[in-house]
Amino acid sequence: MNASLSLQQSPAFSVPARFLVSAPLFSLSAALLMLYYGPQMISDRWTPELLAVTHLLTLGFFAMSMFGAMLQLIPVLMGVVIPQAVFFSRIIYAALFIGCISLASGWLTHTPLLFIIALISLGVSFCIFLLLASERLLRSKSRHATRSMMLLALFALLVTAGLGIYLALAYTDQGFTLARLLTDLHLSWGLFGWVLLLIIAVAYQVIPMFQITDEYPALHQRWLGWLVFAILLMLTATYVWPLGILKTVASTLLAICMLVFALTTLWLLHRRRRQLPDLTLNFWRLAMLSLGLLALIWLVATVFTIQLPTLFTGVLFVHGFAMTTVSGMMYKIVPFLIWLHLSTQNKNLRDQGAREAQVKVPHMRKIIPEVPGQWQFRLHLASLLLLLAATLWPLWFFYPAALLFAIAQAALLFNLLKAAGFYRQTIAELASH
Amino acid sequence: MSREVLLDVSDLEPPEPLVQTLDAAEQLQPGQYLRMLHRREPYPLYSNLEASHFRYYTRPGTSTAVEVFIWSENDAEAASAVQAIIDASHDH
Repeated sequence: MNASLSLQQSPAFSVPARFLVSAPLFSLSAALLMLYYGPQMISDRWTPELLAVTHLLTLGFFAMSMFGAMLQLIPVLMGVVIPQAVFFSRIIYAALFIGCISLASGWLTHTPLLFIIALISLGVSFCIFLLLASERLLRSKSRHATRSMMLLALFALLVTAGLGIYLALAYTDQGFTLARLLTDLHLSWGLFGWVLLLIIAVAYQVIPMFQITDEYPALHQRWLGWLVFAILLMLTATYVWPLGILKTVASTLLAICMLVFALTTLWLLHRRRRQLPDLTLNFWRLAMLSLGLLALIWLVATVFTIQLPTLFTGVLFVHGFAMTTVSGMMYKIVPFLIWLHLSTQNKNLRDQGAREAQVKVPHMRKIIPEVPGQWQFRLHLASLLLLLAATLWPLWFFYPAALLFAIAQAALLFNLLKAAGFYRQTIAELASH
Repeated sequence: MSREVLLDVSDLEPPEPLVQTLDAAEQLQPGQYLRMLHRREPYPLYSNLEASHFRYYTRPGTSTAVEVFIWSENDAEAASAVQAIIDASHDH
């Protein structure tokens, strides 16, 4: 009797792959735009070029990769199959792709029509994704903290997208005024709701699973995400009742939550059972150091009522924490999925007695070789340090930072494309038998 | 020949626990069952075992978080050996 691998829960490889492989295209575009527009684009928070670059990273890189990752993780971790996954993922992907490009081009060319296209496309993509993902999660019988954290993250995405669409209406030339006050709320729900909560949700599963650590403490899993969510509600309330003390308490608590998450993760990684070098481990450590540093700066700024260095902390969060985490996960998820799908094909062929038709599936660690991965990590780290320096001394560091950022993202794109190419080639070999 | 084949996958990175468990299950001799030790409940393993006509029983482990007993669905001897272990743990 032969045991064969089952893909019952897992969607087709193309479902997560198209999102994951496309994500670095957007970060690379963001870096190239920085090179083109130069340091003037960070002269203040509101330049259209900076808004375009920021959204290429948050929507194009982060939402793109996390939509793909969630379409894979929800069935596998939560035990619920996504119906018509290929069909839905194509629409979500195409609408998000068009939406991102239109939004960024809208800012760069000041074209109201592009904003209208962006709003419709992003609206369609978010609506379908939110309905599909939340319906599946609500149906899941899993009671793991990841399920509730993912639901909270999706709610935060709904708020972020709602506020974002409302804000962007002002650029459509249809008589809407820009509610700039709401920008910080849009940003808070986006970064600390959608991004932070989702990374916490995923970390609860993938850190113990792939890094072979203990589970996160039970209290941590039960309360941390809900506390972050309650803080976001408090911050929202300060827009209705502008109480200074409420804002200070919420800000302090938020910094403490980020610090707790970063330190707990670093502690778990330090005590992992197998002390072997690992590429994803480097990314996780860098991400948590960035989040920890951000939390400390935030805490000091709140307690001593100092102006927060907005761009510096923005780079720490978006590049240092979010992009680093996602890049690290890509190096684990993409080879794992390729290995799983190829092994399944092979075993099925063996079950059918077609032994000669099999191909050799390499060890998971060989699908994206360690050396190019480590080089990409070094480039990523160097680009983070230079980008941080560029926020302080733009004239000196902006161009080197943008150049290194572009090289690092091109290297990530190359590594992922090479892995996807290997998969396509092997599948073609299998099909030819 | 021992009835029990012991396999500890608790320190292995995915997909090794799944691969090694399925390989070990394939190599079970008549009358033998596999006792697999793991740090977490291996949900993806279950559908794979069912598809390959294996039965399984999971309980909290002593040295690791969980242990999974695995035997062929056509092997009555192995099934009764596992049943005896389950009964003994309930009596205990």
